[in-house]
Amino acid sequence: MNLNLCDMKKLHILALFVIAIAISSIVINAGDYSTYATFTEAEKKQGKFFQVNGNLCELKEFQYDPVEDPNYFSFCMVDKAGTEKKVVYHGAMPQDFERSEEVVLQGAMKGDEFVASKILLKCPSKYNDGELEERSFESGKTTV
Amino acid sequence: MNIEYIGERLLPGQLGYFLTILAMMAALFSFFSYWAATRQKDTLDTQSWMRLGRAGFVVHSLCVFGIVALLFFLLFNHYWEYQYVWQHSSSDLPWYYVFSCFWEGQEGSTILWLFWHAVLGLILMRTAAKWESRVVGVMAIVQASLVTMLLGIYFFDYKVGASPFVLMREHSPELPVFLRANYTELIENGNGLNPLLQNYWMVIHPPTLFLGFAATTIPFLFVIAALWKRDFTEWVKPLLSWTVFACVILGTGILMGGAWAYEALSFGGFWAWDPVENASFVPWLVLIAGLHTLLAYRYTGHALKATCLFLVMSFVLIVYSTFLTKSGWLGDSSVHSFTDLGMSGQLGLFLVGFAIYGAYMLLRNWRYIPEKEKEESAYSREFWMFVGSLLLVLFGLWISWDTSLPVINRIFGTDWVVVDVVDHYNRYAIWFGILIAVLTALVQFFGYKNTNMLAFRNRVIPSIVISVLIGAVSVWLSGITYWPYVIFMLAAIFTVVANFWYIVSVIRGKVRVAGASVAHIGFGFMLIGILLSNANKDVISINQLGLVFGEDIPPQENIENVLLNKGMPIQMGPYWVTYESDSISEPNTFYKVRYDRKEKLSDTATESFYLYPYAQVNPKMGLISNPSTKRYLTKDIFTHVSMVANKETAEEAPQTFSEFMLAVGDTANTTSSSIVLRTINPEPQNLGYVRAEGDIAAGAMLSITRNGKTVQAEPIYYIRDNVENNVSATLDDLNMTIDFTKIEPQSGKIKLQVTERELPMEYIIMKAIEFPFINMLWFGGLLTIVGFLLSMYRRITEKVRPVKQIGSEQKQVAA
Repeated sequence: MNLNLCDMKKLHILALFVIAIAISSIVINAGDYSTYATFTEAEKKQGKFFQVNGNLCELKEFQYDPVEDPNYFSFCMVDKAGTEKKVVYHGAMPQDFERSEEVVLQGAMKGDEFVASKILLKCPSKYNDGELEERSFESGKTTV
Repeated sequence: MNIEYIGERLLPGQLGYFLTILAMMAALFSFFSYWAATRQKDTLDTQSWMRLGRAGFVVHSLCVFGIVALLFFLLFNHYWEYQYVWQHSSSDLPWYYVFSCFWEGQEGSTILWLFWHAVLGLILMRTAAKWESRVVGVMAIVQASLVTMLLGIYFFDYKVGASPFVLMREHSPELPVFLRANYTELIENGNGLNPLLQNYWMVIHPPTLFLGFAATTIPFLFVIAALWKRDFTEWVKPLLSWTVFACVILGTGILMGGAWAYEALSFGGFWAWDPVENASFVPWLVLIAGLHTLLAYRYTGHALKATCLFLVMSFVLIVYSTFLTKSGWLGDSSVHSFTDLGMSGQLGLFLVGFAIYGAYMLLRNWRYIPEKEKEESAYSREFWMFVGSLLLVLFGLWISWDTSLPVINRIFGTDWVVVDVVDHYNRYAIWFGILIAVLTALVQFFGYKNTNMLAFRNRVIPSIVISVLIGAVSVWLSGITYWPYVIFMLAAIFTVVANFWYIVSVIRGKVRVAGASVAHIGFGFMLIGILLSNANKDVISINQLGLVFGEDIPPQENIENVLLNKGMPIQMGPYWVTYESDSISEPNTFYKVRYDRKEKLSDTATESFYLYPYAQVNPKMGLISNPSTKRYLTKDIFTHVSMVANKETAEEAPQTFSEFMLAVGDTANTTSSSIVLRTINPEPQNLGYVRAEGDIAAGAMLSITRNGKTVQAEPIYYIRDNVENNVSATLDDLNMTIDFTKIEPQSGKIKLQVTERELPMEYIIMKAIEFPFINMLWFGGLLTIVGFLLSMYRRITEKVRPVKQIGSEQKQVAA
């Protein structure tokens, strides 16, 4: 058994190996990283995933009729730049929706609507003493 | 304005503040004395300083135990004037949740951590032998830093720490109730415990996890001690035992967290790559890496530098995880990070402090860490253990990077974010999982230092053949087709088979040395369980009504919620599911959901069972839903209520009015019920009517029957000061209100007005998920724990061989 890999120090081989893994995986996963965006930016790149922060529209209007379709919920949100958009979420209406103040969405624009796959609501919480309580909802999953 | 408050019980709080300050002073004193002990040339001087150091640490520990006892005392006795007690508990909780209340807040969890450090420190004091002064001394410094988080004292406008003994009136002095001297009588109950934490896992998971955190400190202490002393003799044995201990406890704590998430949270799973989960997972990965390099060092003298680095890193990462969860910097990215108590500066200081201290100790003493001149062979176990450890660290750092994006954003002003979090992590975790699984399978067949390749082949080839056979059958049976999953499955099975084969063929069933292999088999089973329960997770509540959604058809996996009208069966997968009824057991509403296994609705069920998912319509948090799970050996059926019909809207339901003229004995039929006037009561009295002088009053004694059930009611009519009045009878159960509005003296008949509301539609919206083979995950976890315990037993009881090869190469260092 005299098959030395090569004369290079194994530590160096390892270092190369680690760098190779790191680079290749970062390249592969680069698409997962995104930045916070506004509706206007998301609208320009239809179908691309973004995270949009904002608030509920003033009237907090929403549409949810569980008897007709328990997986369709839509509401109006205004982003940090002041643009209002209809947001569609394919899942049950998050409980306590009306009480929430700030909203964080993850999803993509589809035509004139923002289709959210994840909603994070911040509601005033009494458990945390006037702080905002955060609850997140994912279509497909609901994390609390 | 000064108010003399009455009824406050201030003594425990004052004692608490005193103990906190004393705990800090004693810890500092202990550190100083131990440090002084290391500086003495004379043994007698050393001894006396050591005694002082011990005394300091014992006093410190007693103070910490006292703080724990005091806080429990306050919680048990509901001293609401204390902010922590009011905020985190209430008197209607079962007694055992007082534990959950204790560690619900940041202050409580810090105390828990301090407590375990104190306990472990006392054990180290007795067992650390020549390392005592340095190990316990540095522990005292760690403790002193942690205690400052409980001080709650202002230094020049900067608040240091948050005390659990702060009074409500000090915490929120602006509340008007504190203008009253007797305010303590007015606080009837506490704010209560977050319903999600009202779960038995929350009684045992946090203490286990924090014991894991505390245990992770010990390897760090030993490394620092050795670097400080520049001496690595008589060091491996205690370090190895403690490292295994930290691995098993921290791992168990994390696993319990997963079990809690699976049982109590509604997202349907045991792991969501949430920053809080990652924050304790990453240190564990690095700790495991350190354990393996330490073993390599123990047997070959290689990899000591990496060991020191990894063990220091794992402690710093624990401090970092505390920073992440307690600073509030995670912001949007985590759902269950604690809120900011204004301690991010202080926490940041600890983090930077310990990181710099660790780095400084490593760098300054790097060249004194013994190292072998000769490189490890590529056919040696230590080489591949090192590769595997490096992979674990790399994996941990990558998770840590992703978790830290909010921190990076905050520091550099960027706004990076990971979208699709779970998929993102899974995408790379799967490849690390595969590589680590393959290494776990193969590496044990290598010998330390060098390997007889013939024997290696003879042992590895059979295990590969068996794994491929079992793997092929399992992949075919499970129906997995996505190729990375197939590879993952094969790798996981290879881990199980190869380690089993190792026990059979190499160590020949000797339990004493089988710890590692048993743990590795458990790890393999966990990987299989994770893969099968996730990849083959089946949402059976997919809307099967054949509704057409038009163009905007959402992806199939999104239509996961089904509306169940009360009493109407709906088909879900192999089951017909009926929402039968609900029952209230304060504060929870239990929904009785019946599952019948049958093809068609008209068939007889081959199997029937009930699930009782429950929800707490919590005034503070809205609907808190708790899933209910039917467990089989090979699968779980998970049911969770995502929404319920709001009963308050019943008020707005359409109403029907009807009027009847009745004589005694007559019956009136409304749309749903029949009402019989039994008699007239000339002297009526109830909550709504109190007789006054000069009243003319009558009560109509009614029997109301609906669906064979009869109830009684008595609406009242009276004339007071020549004005007609009435007190209506409201029947909540029947959604009916009856008014007695007139008496016709001629006919002797009375007039009743009946208002009926339509019964509100009762429904729940629920989700049902089938998790196949999730028990494999729990079984694997238990097996891993057993394996760890076996190796811990071995490491503690083994005789230390004189490690000549290490001693002989060691550079001469001053003691």
